[in-house]
Amino acid sequence: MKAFLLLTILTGFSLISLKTPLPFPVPKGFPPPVYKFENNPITKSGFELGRKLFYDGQLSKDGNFPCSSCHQQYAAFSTYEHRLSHGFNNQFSARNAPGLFNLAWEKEFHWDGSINHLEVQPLAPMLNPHEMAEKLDHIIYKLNHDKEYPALFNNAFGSPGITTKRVLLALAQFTVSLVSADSKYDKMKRGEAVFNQYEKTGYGIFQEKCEGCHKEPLFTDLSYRNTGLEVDSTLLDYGRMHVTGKKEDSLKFKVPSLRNVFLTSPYGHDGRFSTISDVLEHYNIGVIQSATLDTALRKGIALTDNDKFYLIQFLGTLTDTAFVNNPLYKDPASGRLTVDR
Amino acid sequence: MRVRSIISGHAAIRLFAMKKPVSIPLIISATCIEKWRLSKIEYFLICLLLFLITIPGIRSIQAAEGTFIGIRPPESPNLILQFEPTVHGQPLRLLEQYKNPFGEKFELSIFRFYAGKITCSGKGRILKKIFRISDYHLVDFSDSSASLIKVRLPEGDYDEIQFQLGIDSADQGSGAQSGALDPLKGMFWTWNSGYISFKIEGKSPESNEPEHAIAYHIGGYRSPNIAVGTVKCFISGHKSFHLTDDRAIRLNIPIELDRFFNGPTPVHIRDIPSCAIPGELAHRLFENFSGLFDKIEIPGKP
Repeated sequence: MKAFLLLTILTGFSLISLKTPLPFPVPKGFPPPVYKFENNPITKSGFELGRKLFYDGQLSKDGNFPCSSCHQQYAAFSTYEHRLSHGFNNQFSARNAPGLFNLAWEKEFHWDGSINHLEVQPLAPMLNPHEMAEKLDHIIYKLNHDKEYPALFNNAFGSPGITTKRVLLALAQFTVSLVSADSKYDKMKRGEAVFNQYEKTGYGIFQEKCEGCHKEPLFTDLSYRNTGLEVDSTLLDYGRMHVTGKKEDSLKFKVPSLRNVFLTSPYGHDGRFSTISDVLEHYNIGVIQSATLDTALRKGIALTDNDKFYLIQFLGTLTDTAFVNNPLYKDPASGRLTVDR
Repeated sequence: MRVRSIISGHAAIRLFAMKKPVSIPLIISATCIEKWRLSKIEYFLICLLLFLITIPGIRSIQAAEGTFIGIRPPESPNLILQFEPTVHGQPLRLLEQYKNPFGEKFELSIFRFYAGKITCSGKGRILKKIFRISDYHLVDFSDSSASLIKVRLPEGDYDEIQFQLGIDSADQGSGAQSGALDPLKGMFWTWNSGYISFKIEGKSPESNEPEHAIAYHIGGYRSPNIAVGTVKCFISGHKSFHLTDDRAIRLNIPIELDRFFNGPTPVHIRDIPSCAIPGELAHRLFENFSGLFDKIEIPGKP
């Protein structure tokens, strides 16, 4: 009799543990996250559901374009070696796919900040006719008629039902968990590694010439700036101005994080730079003057060949191999190749 | 001024449902006592444990729903606001052809808008009384049950109703939403996050867009091009209406669509067949639209 009682109580507690929020450890030196975890506490079942959705082609019209088709773990969740990404029916995306990490610290998303919350971001690629090209009601229909999803949603949210909100909350539980804070730079900061002479010199140059926009520890200040890129005549992308409707925001794009920068080639909002050297050379001699050009770039950033060499040595310390090889983030349905560096 | 907020029916139902996990363990433990004759201390400990188990559930629901004054049982609505769109004084029917004040033919296939944060006010014994219901409704004329809003208010006399057209900035950037705010309702811009305040779609031979389409998807919550706002409706003819607890009354809110075309910014379909991004034009078209909501009619028989 008492054993039965104990069993009842234990079952009660194990039910709690399924719902118990997983901790979100804030890396040392990082600011408090912007994402409100209290509205969407990460649970094991919610995270795993979000990961499954992230790798599932059913979120796209023809089944070929899961989120992971443009956000590849080995490229720090950017599209490796693609200026623009491929979408439905052999179409190109309009911008270079950014890496996905440390999203918990971002308030706005996309190169122009057009997305006002992490949870609603997936709607943009899912419904974009050039990208995943699907309809929202059809996605919900497919998930409802899937063998596994109804039970997984029930587990993750404590009651049956697959809704837009639950799809978005689950995806956010996965994407907000993508934290990259274990590079050589981070280890150096924690006293677990030492920079060699080249890296140390590069770090000094970085702090002097780049830190103004690529602020540590996120390596971006998340502001929108015109970095003197000429508008591409085929894309006609004026960036932030499309969102605010203000002339003074013309040609401004979000400052990208430099974490994992060795893995996220090509560079720039339209991926126009193939290599880091190309980007550095742009700041050295390629900045185009215009009314909204960032004041810090009026004269460009003078960089000698030596500066560039050391800077690249330092930028290499921002590669987080533990992040790109983290089995927690991998497609659970397939054994993918990992990157060894 | 006495201000009191009312728990909406939806929230009350959710809260009511919350009581379930509490009551079930109590029943189980009561059975235990009878059959197994537990000591009082054992019974107390079991109750305590079962109560602790339910605490995380209660707390998460409270966090999701905000702060409440107290638990109320769900109550049936006693006020029904019926929106009645007209063209040339005739009730609007979707897919039927009309002419706007400039003689341009058009037909509509979609007409939806958000109305929320309904505030009713009237004279109290000493001070003005104001009641506010904070949720949003999607009014949709392709669904006859969605062309009205049902609310419950305390008994009394009221003479003014205010509501918000569109979703204000405080509720725009709050992530994944459900119910009236589910992006599935087709009122959310996915490429430039934000809720559309009103959506009018159809066809007109005057439109030079593909398939002669007309489309006014009007919204925007970023300054200065805001297309969200509060409108105030007064009771026409009568000074006030009286609400009781035991029966529902219906009020009609006419929407004369002619005035949308003929508003402060004239909408000639040939010139403005479509507007689907936030901006200065959207801001002006919102002014036209919000101008349509100014009076309330009390039908002959409720």
